[in-house]
Amino acid sequence: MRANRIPLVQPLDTIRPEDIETHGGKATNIARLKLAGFCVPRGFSISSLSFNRIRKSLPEINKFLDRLEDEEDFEEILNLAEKLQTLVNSYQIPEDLKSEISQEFQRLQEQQIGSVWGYAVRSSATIEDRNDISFAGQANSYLCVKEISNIFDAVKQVWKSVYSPSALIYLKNKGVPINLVKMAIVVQEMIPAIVSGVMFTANVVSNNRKEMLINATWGLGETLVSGRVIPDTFILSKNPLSIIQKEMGAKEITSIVVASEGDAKTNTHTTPREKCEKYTLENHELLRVAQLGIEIEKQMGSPQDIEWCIRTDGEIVILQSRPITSLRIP
Amino acid sequence: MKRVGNGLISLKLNAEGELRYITSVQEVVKLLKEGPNGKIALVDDAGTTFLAPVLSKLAGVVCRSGALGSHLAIVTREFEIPALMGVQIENPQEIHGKHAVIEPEDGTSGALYIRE
Repeated sequence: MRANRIPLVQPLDTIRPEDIETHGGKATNIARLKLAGFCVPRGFSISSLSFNRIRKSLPEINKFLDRLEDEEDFEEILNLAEKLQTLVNSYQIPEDLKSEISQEFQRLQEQQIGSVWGYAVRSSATIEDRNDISFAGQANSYLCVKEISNIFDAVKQVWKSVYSPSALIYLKNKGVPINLVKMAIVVQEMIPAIVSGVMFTANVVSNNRKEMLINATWGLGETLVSGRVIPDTFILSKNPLSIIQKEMGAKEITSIVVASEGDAKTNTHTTPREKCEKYTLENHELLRVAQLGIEIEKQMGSPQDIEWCIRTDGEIVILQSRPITSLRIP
Repeated sequence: MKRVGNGLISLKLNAEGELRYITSVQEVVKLLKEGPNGKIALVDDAGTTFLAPVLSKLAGVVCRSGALGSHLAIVTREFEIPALMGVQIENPQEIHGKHAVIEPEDGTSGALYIRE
């Protein structure tokens, strides 16, 4: 029996597309890209079964979720969000899960000589049968997490963030019952990026699938997705691949990973003026990023919203890929 | 109409309505009680998640930072409302409460107009 037990934690490269219900979109897509030969960070996924177990061990959560379902009053929703988050906070991660996480963590540490940068702990949510929901930025991510005890803390914080006021309201607005959200967690190695960006393999602004749109900024992509900088914007035509429009962003701040003895953290500073006034990507680099986007779209079978970065050695690393949620049928 | 700024537009759609400069969740609650329907929210930060309760009812969003890949741009697009991102507005209080228009221009650009 033991041999057939579903593992709670799995290395990313052993996850298959059919595991989407247990490992969520982020983990499954990264695994797919890895299998197809793209450069992705190493890591593991904590299955959504572990998230479901919280509700089994704290049945009060269900009571609050039921109340939330019919609640329209904003202040009451805030109140329920706080109660739910307090409950998750009180949850003790079960020993079997801790031990599986520790094992995978150990394996990563051994494989990886350069783990000085720590790990990113991110949500990998799946909402049953819905491809029009990005859940973008609704759950928290934690960067540069190093010690195993901090990984445990971060995992709990990501679970907790599913019940944040903004996540609950986003789902309510979308008409999605919160109990349909399946929440897995990806733990992946931090990439000390020189340049990071987001790429839509269709022009989401004009709804044009023959074009693509790329945003890029210096350092880590966190400043870009959280909207704290105005990044460079590039529009390209896909066939033949060529640059249509370049718009320079101010890239006001830059976030980088700093590692010192036994510790890693992100450090945000004002971008030096000469870098504000310079494009993050030379034309040949831009085309290289775009070409990867086209290949990923082909691999995944639909236009994608891709987070990528350029590592210190010049390699382009794909951090995540998800279907574009807002394209209208042509 | 006076042009007060330009930025990157998340969707090629026009929007028109009363502009509200919103900086806190308390102001969102206030707007929610008044009725956010058809209003345009102006915010400082594209990481903003506090707009969530009103987002589906707004006519549009203007943001003083960010770009098309920001979470705010992605999420507003799902609700099919245009967000004008990375707009440099020196004094947002000045246009609070005025009638505003978001208008798409060439490519991914868009402009913000205010009726004086």
